Amino acid sequence: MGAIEEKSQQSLDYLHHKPSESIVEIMNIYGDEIKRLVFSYVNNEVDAEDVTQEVFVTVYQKLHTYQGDSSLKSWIYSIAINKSKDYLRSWHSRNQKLLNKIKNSGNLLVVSKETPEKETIKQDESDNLFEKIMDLPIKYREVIVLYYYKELSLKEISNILGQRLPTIQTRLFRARKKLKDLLLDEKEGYTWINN
Amino acid sequence: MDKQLRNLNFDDKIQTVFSDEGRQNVVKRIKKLEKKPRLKLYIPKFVSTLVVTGVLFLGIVLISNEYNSPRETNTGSHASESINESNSEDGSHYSLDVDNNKDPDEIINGIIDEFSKDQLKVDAYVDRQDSTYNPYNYSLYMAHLDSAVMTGNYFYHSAFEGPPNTIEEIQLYLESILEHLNMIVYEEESEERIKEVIELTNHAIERKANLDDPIYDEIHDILHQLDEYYNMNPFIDDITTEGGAVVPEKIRDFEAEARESKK
Repeated sequence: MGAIEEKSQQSLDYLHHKPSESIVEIMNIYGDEIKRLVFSYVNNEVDAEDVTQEVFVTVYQKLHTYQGDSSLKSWIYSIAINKSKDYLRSWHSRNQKLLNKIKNSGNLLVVSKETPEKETIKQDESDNLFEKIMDLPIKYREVIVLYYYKELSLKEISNILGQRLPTIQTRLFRARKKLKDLLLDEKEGYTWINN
Repeated sequence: MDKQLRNLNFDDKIQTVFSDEGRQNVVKRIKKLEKKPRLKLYIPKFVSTLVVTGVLFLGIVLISNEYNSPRETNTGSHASESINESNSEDGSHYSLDVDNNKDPDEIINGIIDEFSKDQLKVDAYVDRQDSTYNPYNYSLYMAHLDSAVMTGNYFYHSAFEGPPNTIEEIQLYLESILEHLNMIVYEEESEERIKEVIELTNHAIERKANLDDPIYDEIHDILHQLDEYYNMNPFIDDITTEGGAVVPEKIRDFEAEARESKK
């Protein structure tokens, strides 16, 4: 972690006057972290790589607009989230989702052939939780990821997502409830293929 | 649920890193973007150079027009002034409005005709002492001169060429008189006199009258009177004195006045 992360005038000057050097440093610091964040949205390795590249190009292009009002991390996160959502709204992403739905058509609700005990043996509990998180709708998934795994406060999440704080609180509550329901359903032998 | 979520190592589950290839791609794209702004920097310079050049060119054109236009304007204004002067002198009004659909030569000839006619206009009587008296009735002067030649009242001319002898020559003189009279724009007083002399001239042409016909003296008398009436410098007839000498009419008048004063 270098001076680039500090909210000082010196670091701002460096970001504004040496954007090419700054972006290399930013990629070194936040590259993996941003790609994981993007992956939590797009749920696809190849697409996550492409979107992450887009994120850092945009960061470079908009670096002169960063005034240090929020942390650099939050600012880059907001760009990454917007880019990820743009991708999810894109024709390519929708097409991919549709193809997946067609492949799994008729299997919307399937009864697991394996017993819960066997399933538990086969799959680690944490893996299961991760899968359930990734199966959540985006609006619930993102608050879970940002709050629990990116260590952002509810206020920061509210700022990044551009939503009111009560909305974020409600979403987090509902996201947890939904996760709990999914896990209970699974214990009862049902698996929801699509979210 | 909250505890389960907190215990989950989420990042470990996403076994992915931002690849070196991905980072290089970002750097390449940034370098491409860096080249574009340079081009963007040159474009405003080029545009501003173009604008400055255009403004300079426009300025030069405007300045050259400024140099040319006053001369044109002055010429035009002089012309219009002279026209206005002649208008004010003879009190006439005319229009030089140009029809764009007309042939340029036709327009120019029309203007010349209009201008000439105005200059030759026979107008109401103005005192001869008045400097505004119409000096331009050249046609009336020439018509009078032609009739003077025909009637033997222009000696010097007659000495070289002599009065017209043949019918054809007489006809040429009569046509010349008619042509000059038709050049005159007349109105108000003396209109009848001018119409009368034109009628007489046409009659003489039709009759092919010989030179000894009294109609020529009648034509000359009317033109003589009109010329003296309207022109500041009318044609002066030559006359033969009692002693046989041919002198201008004015000299004869002067001699007559002298004799009268001696008495």
